[in-house]
Amino acid sequence: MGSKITEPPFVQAEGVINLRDAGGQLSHLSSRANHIVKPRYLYRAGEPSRITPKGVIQLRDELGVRMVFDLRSDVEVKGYKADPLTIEGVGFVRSPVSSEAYDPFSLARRLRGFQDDPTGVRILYLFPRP
Amino acid sequence: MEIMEKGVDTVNKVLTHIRDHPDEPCLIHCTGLNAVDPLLQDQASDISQPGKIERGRLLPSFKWYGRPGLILGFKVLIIAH
Repeated sequence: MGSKITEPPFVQAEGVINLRDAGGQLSHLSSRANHIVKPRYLYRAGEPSRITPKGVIQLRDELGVRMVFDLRSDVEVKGYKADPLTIEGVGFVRSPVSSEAYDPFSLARRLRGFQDDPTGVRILYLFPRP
Repeated sequence: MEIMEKGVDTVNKVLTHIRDHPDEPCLIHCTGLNAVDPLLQDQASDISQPGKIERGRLLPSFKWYGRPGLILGFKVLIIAH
């Protein structure tokens, strides 16, 4: 926890929160033991709609990002008024992984069950909609 | 189980990109802290400024929830989001 969020694996694109390189990590697949994820290829970030013009240059031209996968649910897109991004020369794919929101507030509501109810873990992780 | 079903579709899309475009880096994103709450906006916007915020320094902002379990959840988000 002592390392700075501005140091690797974190990389910078102004206006994009928590952007980091997923590369360089050891594979968890036993068949790929001692293999590492390809560096500078797969990036991970928070919602990037506040990217600045400088951030666009950093993301597209310096990091070379050519495709963005937006995993947010429709609820998240509407609720936070953060429309899908468009950047010239970069493709965008909307691919919600859930119809529910996974922002901290929504997650907090689910975690409340984790604290107050012994079955909270089951509800949180296995059956979010009992 | 919805997230697992939809997650498979998402993973397939990303894997297809990796297979077909090995020289074109990609970015995966979800919501992230910048879309959370006005109380966080100032701090969150500082994250992209080099040298300003260290991991963990956002945690005091979550005190208004007052429940350790919830703060724990945000720790996970800061690390994994």
